[in-house]
Amino acid sequence: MVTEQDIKQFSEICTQIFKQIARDVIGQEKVVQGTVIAMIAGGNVLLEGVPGVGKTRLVRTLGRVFDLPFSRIQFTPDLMPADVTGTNIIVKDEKGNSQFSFQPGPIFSNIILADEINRATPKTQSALLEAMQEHTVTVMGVSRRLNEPFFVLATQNPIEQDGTYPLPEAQMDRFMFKLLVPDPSLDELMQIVSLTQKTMDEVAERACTGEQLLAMRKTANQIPIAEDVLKYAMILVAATRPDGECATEAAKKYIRVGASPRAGQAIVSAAKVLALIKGRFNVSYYDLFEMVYPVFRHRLKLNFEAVAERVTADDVITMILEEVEKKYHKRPTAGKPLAVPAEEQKDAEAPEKPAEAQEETAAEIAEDPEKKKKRGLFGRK
Amino acid sequence: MKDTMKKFRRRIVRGAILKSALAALIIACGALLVTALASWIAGFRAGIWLALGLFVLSFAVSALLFYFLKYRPSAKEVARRIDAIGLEERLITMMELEGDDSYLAKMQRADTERALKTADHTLIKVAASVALCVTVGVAALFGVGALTVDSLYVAGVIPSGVEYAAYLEAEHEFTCSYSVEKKGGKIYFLTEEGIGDEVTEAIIVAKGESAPTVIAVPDEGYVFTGWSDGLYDPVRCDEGVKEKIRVRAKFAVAEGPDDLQDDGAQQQKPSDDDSSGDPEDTPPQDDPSQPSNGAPSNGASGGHDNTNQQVNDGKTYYGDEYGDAYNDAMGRLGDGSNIPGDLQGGVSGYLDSIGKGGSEGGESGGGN
Repeated sequence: MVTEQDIKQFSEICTQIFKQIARDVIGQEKVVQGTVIAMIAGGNVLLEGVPGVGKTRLVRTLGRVFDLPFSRIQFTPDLMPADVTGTNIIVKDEKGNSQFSFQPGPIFSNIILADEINRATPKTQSALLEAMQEHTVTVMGVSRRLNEPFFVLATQNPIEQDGTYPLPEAQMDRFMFKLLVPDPSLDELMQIVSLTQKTMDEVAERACTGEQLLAMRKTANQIPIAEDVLKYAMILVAATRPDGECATEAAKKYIRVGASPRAGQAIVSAAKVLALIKGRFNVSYYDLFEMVYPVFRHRLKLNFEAVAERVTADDVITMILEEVEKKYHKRPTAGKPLAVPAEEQKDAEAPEKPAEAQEETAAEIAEDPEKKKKRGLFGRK
Repeated sequence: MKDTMKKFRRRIVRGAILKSALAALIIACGALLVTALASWIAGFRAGIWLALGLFVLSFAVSALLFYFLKYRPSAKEVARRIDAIGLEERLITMMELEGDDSYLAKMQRADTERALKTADHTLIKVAASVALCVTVGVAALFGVGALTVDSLYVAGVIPSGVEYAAYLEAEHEFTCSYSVEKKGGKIYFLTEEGIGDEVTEAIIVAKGESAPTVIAVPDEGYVFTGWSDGLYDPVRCDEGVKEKIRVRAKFAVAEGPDDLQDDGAQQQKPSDDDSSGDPEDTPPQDDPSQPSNGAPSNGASGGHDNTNQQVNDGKTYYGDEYGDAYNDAMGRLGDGSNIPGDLQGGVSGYLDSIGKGGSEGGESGGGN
């Protein structure tokens, strides 16, 4: 049962978490919010961005803010599964007898930073599968539970493709969110440079313990979701499947494999956390709308037509949302916050698209040959 | 909470009533249209009151039916509508949590109430869809139009539908009447197989169509002298009929010997094709139904007279006899010999019968 204390604690800790992270990470509000939501909901996050935009710094900061043991694994092509999970080594006891002893790998931590995850071979990447889903590691037939809470925060670089191994679908699906880390704006850039000129030290302090995080997850899971809203979430998931009963035209045209049921679980869990962060005790359509891009974008397997037309997963999601809106007359709108300053109310009345959704749509790209030209091979900018 | 929701609910109900009224108006206008049109067509003068009565009745009944069966908002629909103005699905969730006494449910209710108090109820539009309004407009236009037509009929300005249909029917058909002026012959239908039945009554022809081909056949002892509209061809086919046609075939008593009749070609105006110039060049035709140039004259559309042929009984072509008699008479005149009385009488009698006797007769007589 959720108590008044739980709600109060959730609210206070959330405020503290964002406050502390903001001390070390300039800008990137959507990425920070997405990462925190995933951590509270218990999901893994894949951060994609060009080098130098603060991915690793964000993960390190999170480790400190949540006051959890933190391990960093630099993924390289010669990294072996045992380097991640740990292995049995022969040790001699006090009597001089040799025996196998399990030497835990870096995965036995609470927050794992899998840096440049796509540089490791599929074999090593697969070593994470069991850990990410079941939170256990099996070595030599012995399963060992990982510490809770357990998160994998992976980063990958979208530009360098030489010597990289795209993540297998099974592993992709185990990431709750894929967040695109954008380049900082001019103001943010100035703040970053002026901050780091003074000191490179990371000053964020502890805001939450592991136990508190688990309690917050439990509280968020209790947030009610109306049947209509839950149905809308499932329609969104089904609409991405090209041969499903709710298949949209965009899905039929551009998608080979749609979102899995795990995506449905992820979007609802994330929307519940988002609602509670906003101080609401129910999930709205707009919460789902905000979460749909990070939850779906890495789960949609696009077909060759999409690749040839340089249509990205975000473009397809936008098309699917438009089609679903037309078909089911559901227009997710951000409600007016209660008792907030007029300026903020004005912002709420004209909600911005989520940062992830602000990329050009396929139609816009098709109309503007310049934009088309700017896009590199296979849809990358 | 219920009091707070009242003002929202009132607006939603008003919207539902508006939609029901508009939908009912479509039905009522349909009833008005059908009744008013039926009354006008049938020429039922009291129908206008019937149409108005049905309009009112169907409006009242269908408005009630539409409201209670279709547009009346349920509690869940009211919640959905209110949520849509920015309450972020608070109300619909609250409804589902009804009866839940958990802390979270209570907090959710309190949050919903707070949100409801700050929400602007005027954001709920009391309006109908454009499609519904357009449909109502079109239905009203037709309904009022039909009522106007019926009113004009009742006022005596326009005829009833049946009368108007008859008038239109009359405008589209014409009668072609072929008759014999006094006596001396009959008129028959002429088909590809030959002479058909006798024309005994007027023929109805659609506007712009052609009347059937007819042929005027004189009785024995009579000759055909032309139609009352000035045509001389006994075979006529009136094409492209644009008006009522009423013509009479004229026959005259043949004078002189039965087997000696003059060739009318000598007295008639030459025809368009010059084949009538020399009687000898005119080929004899076994089929009297065919004119000399192979086609029937086109009557009202402007045919030409071709008097090279004369058909007295509808079967025999007498052109050769006339030609031979004429040539015989001319040959005798050239030789300086006398023309026998019977031959002279036959030629002049024939020329007289076709109205050319004066000049030809005088000329031939002068030659004597």
